[in-house]
Amino acid sequence: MEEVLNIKNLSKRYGSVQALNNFTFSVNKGEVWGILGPNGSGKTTTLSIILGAVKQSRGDYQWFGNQVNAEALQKIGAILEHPNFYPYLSATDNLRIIAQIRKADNEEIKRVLSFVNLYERRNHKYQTFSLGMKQRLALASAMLGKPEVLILDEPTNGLDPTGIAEIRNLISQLASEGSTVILASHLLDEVQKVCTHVAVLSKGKNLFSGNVNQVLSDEDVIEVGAVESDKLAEAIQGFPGYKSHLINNNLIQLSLSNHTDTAQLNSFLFEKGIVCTHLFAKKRSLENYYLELISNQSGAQQ
Amino acid sequence: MTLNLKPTLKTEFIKLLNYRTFVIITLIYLALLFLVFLSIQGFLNNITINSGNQGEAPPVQLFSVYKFPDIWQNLSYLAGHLKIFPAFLIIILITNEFSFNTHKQIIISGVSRDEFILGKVVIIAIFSILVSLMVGISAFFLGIFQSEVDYSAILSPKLWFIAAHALELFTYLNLAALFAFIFRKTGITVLVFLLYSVVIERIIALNLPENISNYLPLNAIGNLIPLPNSPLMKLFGINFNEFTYTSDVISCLIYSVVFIVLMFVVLRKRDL
Repeated sequence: MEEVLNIKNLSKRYGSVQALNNFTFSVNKGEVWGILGPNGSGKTTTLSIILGAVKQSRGDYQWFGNQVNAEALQKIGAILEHPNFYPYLSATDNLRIIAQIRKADNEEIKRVLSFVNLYERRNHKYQTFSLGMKQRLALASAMLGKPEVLILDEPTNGLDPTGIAEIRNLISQLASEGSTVILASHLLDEVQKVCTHVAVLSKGKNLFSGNVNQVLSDEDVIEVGAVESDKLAEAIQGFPGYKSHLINNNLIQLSLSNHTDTAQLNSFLFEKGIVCTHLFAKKRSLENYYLELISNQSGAQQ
Repeated sequence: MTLNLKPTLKTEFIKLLNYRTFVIITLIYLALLFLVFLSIQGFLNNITINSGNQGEAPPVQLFSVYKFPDIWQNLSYLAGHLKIFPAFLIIILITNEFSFNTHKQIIISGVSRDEFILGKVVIIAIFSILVSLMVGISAFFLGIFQSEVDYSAILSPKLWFIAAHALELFTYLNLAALFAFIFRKTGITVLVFLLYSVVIERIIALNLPENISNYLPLNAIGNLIPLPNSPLMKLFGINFNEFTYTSDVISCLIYSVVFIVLMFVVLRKRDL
């Protein structure tokens, strides 16, 4: 498979803050990657480095097998953090600027503006736009010049549910046309719906990277609750196949390394003198997995 | 890596021509220049007459600012005193990029940092040439509309002062651009630039021997067009040179290159 991006041991330090710590990963053509992580976990730092906007402290990265340069960047459509445009220029004029750089023609400007539903407002100044419209204009500009790779940093920030759904469809559509997409987000649902691969970052460290299906089918999650939740938390750690647990609203999300019948767990707990008030087998969601990874990490550091 | 300035320049033109503040300030600046050119004769007559009346000094002969070929030098010298206005314009244009964060968007879209800077430098060059052409055209028309015109004196070596004014603007605006690339915020850049122009360079100059302080950036830029001689000065036996020294031209060219190289260094080294 053709490798588009390769990141090796990337680190970035801002003064005393280690924003990114030894991040290694690679992206192949046609993959849709979701970079997940809480605010301040290093998502934007990573994207800023691979776009050449921020210099890494250590490590290396390659686009299409080469060092990043202006030519490579012309094949990458990107939005970083907030949409950045000239407030006094109209939507069309702002896109004409990007189109000059990326060698896109006027027809394409019209096409991307219609695509993000801004065609009617094309002659209005950027400063009159709402946040959602600004975000959509940013997306339109990222699509100019038919880039091979799209990098989207929180693309649904400030959008209403319809807008979020539109962008999700758009990403799926671009992916089905063979575009490679790297999407940073803290919306897990979004990543689960559109991404083929996921990398989880927390405090600058890469906790996991791999295929989404692998995450979702590997293990089961059982939600269990009892009156004496402290005792329950202690008891379940002795259950065969126990991997980790997470306490959420007095309910315990139990991750197991093998498939287990809820009946088995029930009788196990009953023997320990715990009566379950709640017992529910769930298909594991990305959210469970993510929260588990993040809480494991903070647990390990304490 | 190859530089391709064409798309960068086209984007600069889209940005400038649709930026009403820029267009209006430029027009006001050009109008102001012309107004100063028109009113300087009356102003000087006033001073000459007053100074003649006050003391025992012998009456000073009134002289025309608009006489060829002196007008070329007189008006370019005057224009040099208004160059702070375009400097503010250039500072606003560059610091705007940083406050709108558009420099980041432009560079991640595929303009190299060097191209981004050279785009600004070419705009500065075009602006400098256009303004000095305006000065030249104004001088030409003010000159030929006088009652007595010496047509044979229109084409004179003093025409070079128009070119010297272009170099004066180019060097000065590159210094302003360098400050903008370093400080990034409009207010701070304007403040530091003013402080440097009014205070800092003068303090440095005071502590250096004259043959060295003459080559400090603003002095070198200001020396390109010397103060024109007038009958008033001749009276006091003062006689300035009536041409531009090659050494001043060379030092301005060297300064321009140094300022541009420093812009490269600043933008290449720092995060966007």
